[in-house]
Amino acid sequence: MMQFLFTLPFLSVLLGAFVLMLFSHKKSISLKSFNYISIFFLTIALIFEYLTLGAGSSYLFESIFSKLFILDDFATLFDMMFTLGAILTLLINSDYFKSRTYFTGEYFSLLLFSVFGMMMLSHAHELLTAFISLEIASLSVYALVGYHKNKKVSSEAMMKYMVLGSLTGAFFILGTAMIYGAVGSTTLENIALYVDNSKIEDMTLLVVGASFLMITILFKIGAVPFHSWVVDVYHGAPYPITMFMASTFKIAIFAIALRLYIVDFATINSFWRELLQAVTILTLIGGSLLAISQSLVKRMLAGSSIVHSGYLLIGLSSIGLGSDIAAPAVMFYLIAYFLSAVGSFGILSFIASQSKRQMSYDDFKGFASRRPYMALMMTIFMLSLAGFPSTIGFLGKFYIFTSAIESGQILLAGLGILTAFISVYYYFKLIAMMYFFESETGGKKTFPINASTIVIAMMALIVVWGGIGSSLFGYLPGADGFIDLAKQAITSLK
Amino acid sequence: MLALLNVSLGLFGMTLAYKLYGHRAKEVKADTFVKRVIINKFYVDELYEFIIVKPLLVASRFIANSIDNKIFDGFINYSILFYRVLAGQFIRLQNGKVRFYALYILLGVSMMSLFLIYKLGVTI
Amino acid sequence: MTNHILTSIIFLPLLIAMVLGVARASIKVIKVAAILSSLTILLLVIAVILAFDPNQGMQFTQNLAWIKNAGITYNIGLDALSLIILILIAILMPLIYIYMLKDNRKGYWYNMLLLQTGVTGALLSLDLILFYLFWETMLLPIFVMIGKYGNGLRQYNSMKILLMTVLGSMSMLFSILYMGYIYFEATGTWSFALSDLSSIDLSAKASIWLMAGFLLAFAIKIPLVGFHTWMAPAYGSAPTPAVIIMSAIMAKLGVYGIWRFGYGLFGANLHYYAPTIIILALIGLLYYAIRAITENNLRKMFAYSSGSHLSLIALGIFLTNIYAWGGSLYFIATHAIASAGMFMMIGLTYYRFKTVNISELGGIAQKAPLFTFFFAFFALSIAGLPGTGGFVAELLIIIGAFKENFIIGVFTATTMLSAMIYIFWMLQRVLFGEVTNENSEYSDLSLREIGMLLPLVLLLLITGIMPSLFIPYFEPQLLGALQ
Repeated sequence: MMQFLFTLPFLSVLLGAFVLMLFSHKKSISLKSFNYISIFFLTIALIFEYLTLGAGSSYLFESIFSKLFILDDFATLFDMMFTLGAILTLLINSDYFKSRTYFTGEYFSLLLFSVFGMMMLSHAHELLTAFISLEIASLSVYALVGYHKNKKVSSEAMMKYMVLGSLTGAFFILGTAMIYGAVGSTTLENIALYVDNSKIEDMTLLVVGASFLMITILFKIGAVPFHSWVVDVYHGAPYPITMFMASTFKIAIFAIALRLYIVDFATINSFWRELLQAVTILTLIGGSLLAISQSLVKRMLAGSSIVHSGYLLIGLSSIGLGSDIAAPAVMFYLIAYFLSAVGSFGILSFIASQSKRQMSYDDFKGFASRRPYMALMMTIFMLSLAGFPSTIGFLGKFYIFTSAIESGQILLAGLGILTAFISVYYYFKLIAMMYFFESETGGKKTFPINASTIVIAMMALIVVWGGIGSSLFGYLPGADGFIDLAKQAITSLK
Repeated sequence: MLALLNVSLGLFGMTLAYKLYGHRAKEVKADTFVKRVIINKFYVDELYEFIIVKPLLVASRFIANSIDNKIFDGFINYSILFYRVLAGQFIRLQNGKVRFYALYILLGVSMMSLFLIYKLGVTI
Repeated sequence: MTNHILTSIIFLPLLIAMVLGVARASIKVIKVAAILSSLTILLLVIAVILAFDPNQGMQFTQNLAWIKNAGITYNIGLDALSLIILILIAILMPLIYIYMLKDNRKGYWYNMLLLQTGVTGALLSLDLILFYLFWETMLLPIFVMIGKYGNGLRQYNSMKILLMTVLGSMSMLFSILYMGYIYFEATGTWSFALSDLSSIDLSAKASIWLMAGFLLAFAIKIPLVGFHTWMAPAYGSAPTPAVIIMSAIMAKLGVYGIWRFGYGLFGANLHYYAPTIIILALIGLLYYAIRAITENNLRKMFAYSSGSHLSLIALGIFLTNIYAWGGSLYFIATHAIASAGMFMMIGLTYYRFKTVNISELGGIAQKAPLFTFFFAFFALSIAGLPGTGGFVAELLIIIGAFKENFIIGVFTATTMLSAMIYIFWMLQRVLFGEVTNENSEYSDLSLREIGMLLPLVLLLLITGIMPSLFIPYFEPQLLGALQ
């Protein structure tokens, strides 16, 4: 019975996806209703995820699925982030759907399918299951990226993403096959046993296989040199999808990456040390080079999301080198980035719902005098992304850099701080545009109070609260609460 | 003795002044060297101008136009320029063609394979 | 009450700004509230002065756990050195508000409120992460003040000051994190409190790198020569209240940082950098002074002047004897007052003539005698006119320099004179000479303007004539630190 409770989030999302799919052809149901239906199912999932948090770890219907799916706090926390990300995506973009004609019911169904895939991914305890879940999520996202069928950029982005995604997906299968060849099993438990009981010299096949798994992971998070799709795809996708990819989908990849890294390859992590460091350095530098040379804000955020992947990679390689706080640091950074990315893309999408322009830096001129509250919130998100203190983004960087120093990677920590400095330039450029230039069009507009804006405002508050709130102020979980949550999740892995 | 010298010098000065300015005074022409030196206040102003003011002004302009602009600001501007150029070159890789993107991925995979070969000590 | 007094001093302006912002107060309410808050803080600071005991170290401390997982605490406190700067902030803020009284832009007032919280917080924090937080956030209002309300190339210049100072603070952040890690390695717990981190034994090599991180941040803030290219553009573009804070408070915080965190964390190891800083400071003294001679923009001229005098203060901090240290501290206070007055006068000049270029000014003395008096007084007190506080301070530093080393003493003494050159020449051109602004109708100082300038004049005179009133407040601590 308890097991059934655990499956409820899955079932709810899956059921929602099918219901939406079945009714999607009905013209009589408005987009708004679809939106509410999907939010309804996601909320149910979220509630049950919250209820099952802290229930210890077990396997899902072990008698049926064997050890394919694991249930632990780590997975549940990630599930919560996925569902929350999807709910926020839907809520924030409710204006955007109205303003664009190409959205239909299938959109919501696809979104729910991808959330389902991600949830499976975070629970996956076996490589093939992981691959299938990853593909469920990815295929839905491919379709979503190209959702604006008549727009060239959108279709082009989908093609690029799909071709390259399939190319790297093949490596995942290849790696799985190699690991199967070495271990004779693909469950993570057996792999961990094998790794613990053999010497590195005897594990050549497994190491090569694991390296190939890493290629897929690096591709999905946009690490250099597997990054080239990021800017184009983020640019081509409709705003809600870009937001969903940047915040939610990227986190999903880290769910599997962290699990593999901490559970399975913990003892041989240091093998990839130089490789990871090289990729991290390339990612940090390449990402900031990309971000600094963009004139469209959406593309800048895409470039900067590569840099954030770089910070997360710093955390990953610190885990391998024996830093205790590195794993919670990565989790915390994911939460921090999730909050700030959802907020900033949310504002972009909100503006886009009001006009059809591509948003370049110049379009933000005078934004503060037109929409002072929006500008203030955007500023908060930019500060958080730049890692300015008093926001959650600073604490995220704080933990990442201390973990890097703790594991002896002084150079990486220094480089991280340097790229954080560079990022100040392109984030503050937007703030400067909003505040320092006179508005070219129109006067002051009122602050519309609806679902999107309330959610964005809440995100802004959480971003600040996560940076300064703490045990000083009673029982509200602030910065401490998030890292405690992250620690709890990581402990459940081991 | 000293007092006498003082008094006589004073008297001499008074007489000279009277002769020059008082009695049927006419404009003094600086025709002799001594007169010229005295009229120009022993050239103290010019000397001062030449030794102190001019070099300071020259140094100040030099700092303003060369050192501040070209060295200190130049260092900053050139590092920004370097970064811009680097970014400009890097972004050219981002040419929008998926075959190139696939090539980068394969390059990355190849580098990774080389790393594996090296680190695992595989002999070919 | 005494526990929370510093917290109230720090956060009162922020709180008021937030309440006003949420209530969407009108400009009149904002003005009244801002002035009231600054006066309240002045009263609180007076209460602090009365309760202050010069013979104790840190006082009014408050230490609360903040972010437990990272060992970050909310740790604030006050000693003689921070008291001096705190008094300066408390005195200058009401005067700045009086100066701003006619300005009706809301953002201007909000930024000043936030700025006060930022600088006070950076001044009083004893936890390095807390310090870093305030150190960074006090930059934001300045960034906005220059970029939004400034003049000239305001957007470019605000970006420049932001990036250069952030570069410094990032290097400081690295050092802070590394020190936190060393402490963690030694004790097994994370902590960033100054008292904890100062107890760790650093190897000489490590401390050289860590000190460099801190010193870079402070050198940019002061700014020492070579790190100064943000200074003149920023001062030139910034509106007067921001310039006053930058010159009178924020630059001083750079020196304060060297003292509090440089000496506090590294102790005598800091002397590894003493020759470098002393040479940079001596060069800076002369370099800025010479640069100021031909500067046509009054704001920029006094930006360089400020740089020159701050180099002198930095020099004094690195000469370890009681005269130099006492002189530096004294100069921090008197220079802040004098430069605040000077920049106010420049602001008033701009208000009257719509220009601060020396070449377009002239003959003010004929029409506005009071204006001329105050202008000349502040300019001369910056140059170190005997009878004003600056003279005492400069004298002390020169004595200290001679104590340290004859050559340094000679250099210091001669370069001191350099301020005379540009100030007298400037005065001659601005106040006397031909009346160039024949068309513009200008009036002498109004009562409000005299009201905000007179306290500064009196303070300069009192500090100049009776230094013995003030020196006992910080002497015990300096003597203690020297042992």
